[in-house]
Amino acid sequence: MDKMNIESLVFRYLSGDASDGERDIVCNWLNDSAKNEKTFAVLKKIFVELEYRYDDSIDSDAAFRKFQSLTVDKANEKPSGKPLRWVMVWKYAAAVLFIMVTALTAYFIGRRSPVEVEMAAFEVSVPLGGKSSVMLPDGSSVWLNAGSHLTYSLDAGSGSRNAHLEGEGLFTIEKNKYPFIVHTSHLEIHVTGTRFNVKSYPDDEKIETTLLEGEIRIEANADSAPIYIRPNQKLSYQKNLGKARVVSVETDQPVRKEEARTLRHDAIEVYSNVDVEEAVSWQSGIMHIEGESLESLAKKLGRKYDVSFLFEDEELKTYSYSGTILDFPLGQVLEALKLTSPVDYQIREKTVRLYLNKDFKK
Amino acid sequence: MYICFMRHDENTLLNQIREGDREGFRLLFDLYYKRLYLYSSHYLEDPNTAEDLVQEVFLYIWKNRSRIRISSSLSGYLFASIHHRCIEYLRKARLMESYRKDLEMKLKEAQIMLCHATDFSFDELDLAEVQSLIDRVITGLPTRTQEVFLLSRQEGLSHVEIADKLGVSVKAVEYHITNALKSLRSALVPR
Repeated sequence: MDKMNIESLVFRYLSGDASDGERDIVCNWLNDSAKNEKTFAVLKKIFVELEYRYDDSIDSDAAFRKFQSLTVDKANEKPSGKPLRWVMVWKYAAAVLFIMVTALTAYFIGRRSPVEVEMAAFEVSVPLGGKSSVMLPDGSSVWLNAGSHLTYSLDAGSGSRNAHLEGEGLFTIEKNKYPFIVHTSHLEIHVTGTRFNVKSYPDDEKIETTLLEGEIRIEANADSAPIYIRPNQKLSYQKNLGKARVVSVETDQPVRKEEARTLRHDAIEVYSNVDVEEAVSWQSGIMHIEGESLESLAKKLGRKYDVSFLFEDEELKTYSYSGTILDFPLGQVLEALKLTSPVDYQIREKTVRLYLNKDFKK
Repeated sequence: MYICFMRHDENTLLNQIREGDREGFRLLFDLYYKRLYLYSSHYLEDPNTAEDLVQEVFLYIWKNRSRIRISSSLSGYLFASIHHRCIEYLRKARLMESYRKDLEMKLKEAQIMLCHATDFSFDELDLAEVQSLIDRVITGLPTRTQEVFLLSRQEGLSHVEIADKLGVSVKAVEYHITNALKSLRSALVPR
């Protein structure tokens, strides 16, 4: 059998299209020589890479959820090593961060501040392209995303803990008798011991908060009832909608299949069963996106890499993307966009120009 | 559309996983689950069993993360693990059932792949590069060949169906597929 035909036959066999007779031909050909086996191995690897490229029926996320359910019983089972060690490491890490924050506080408050004041207030900014973790004086911790600004203070009268956030933060609040309030431009989030993410950038149309643990209470306006959020729920607030207008809210992202959506208030939507991992994935530098418009993706990338995006073509803004973007240099991320969609780019200093790639062939 | 990057430092990832880093483990899972599943589903008829075997590979790694010894590469280890498990499964199946030629062939296939696990190693030929190379080779093919090849791969049509659709002979379809494969082979296999 000549080489041309056998390659085609192997491919047919791998596709599952070969007849029994054809399968036997492949089998006999394999028995002929070790060289043929090697050729087969190469063809099969190419075949699998092609399947990998074109077969969208395999849901890796669902598989991972299954994996998590398989490991959940063993959550307390330590593989080896000594569990105590990690606690120690965290204690040290916490101590170091605490010292850093105290130093920072001293810097911000200046020479005139007595010790109590040092502990009572501070502020921190994270530049675009950065990411930072801070320990608050009350033991709570916050991961801040690029381009975020956080101030923290204690209310002398009520003792309540107040954080003002512009940007995105993942909060882990230490429970104590005083309430912790995160103030954003439009919403107030009241918490006790709890873990949640808040996204409130001035240039975003929405404010979003996602709860991982505990309970939070959200107050939008003085005249509307507070909204309570349970774990795995996300609240989204559309800023441009006035409080008096009753409209059905359109989001720029399609709702995930498993998310139930309820309209709670003019501008507020509450989503249930959200993928909390997705909401906090920015903390590790990995971006999980699902049906995200290029316009919204560009905003995220702009903050992360400290660049600004220019759309040469309005149509591009509506392109939608799903997937996982790992923590790689901007050039590689843009290269992937270019490879998968009719988008091309040019980087000049800190500006990325996006334009339509007419030569793109899928 | 799916954007996923494959470029990563395997040693760093392995060390993260050894330390119990869930995010790192998730990354490993995302990078290799689909590939391992594609291989195991080639050998086993039942998709559930194919999935279970892949889950077992990842479970084993997670449970034994602190003491796992990997001499070659992480991708090579995963590739070998799934093939060992499939071979073991097929051997058991062979004991239970009467002689079946297709089962013998699958077993042989898995053994061949295990033997050749290293000479087209994923860590050497960066996976993202492999994928973009595939794209480049396919876009560089003559229009007709490209059309036939994508109908076969992307649409999953059989040779006869493609021949019908395009109004050409099955032989012509085979010719185009072989040509496409040849181009891919020469691009992907280092000489």
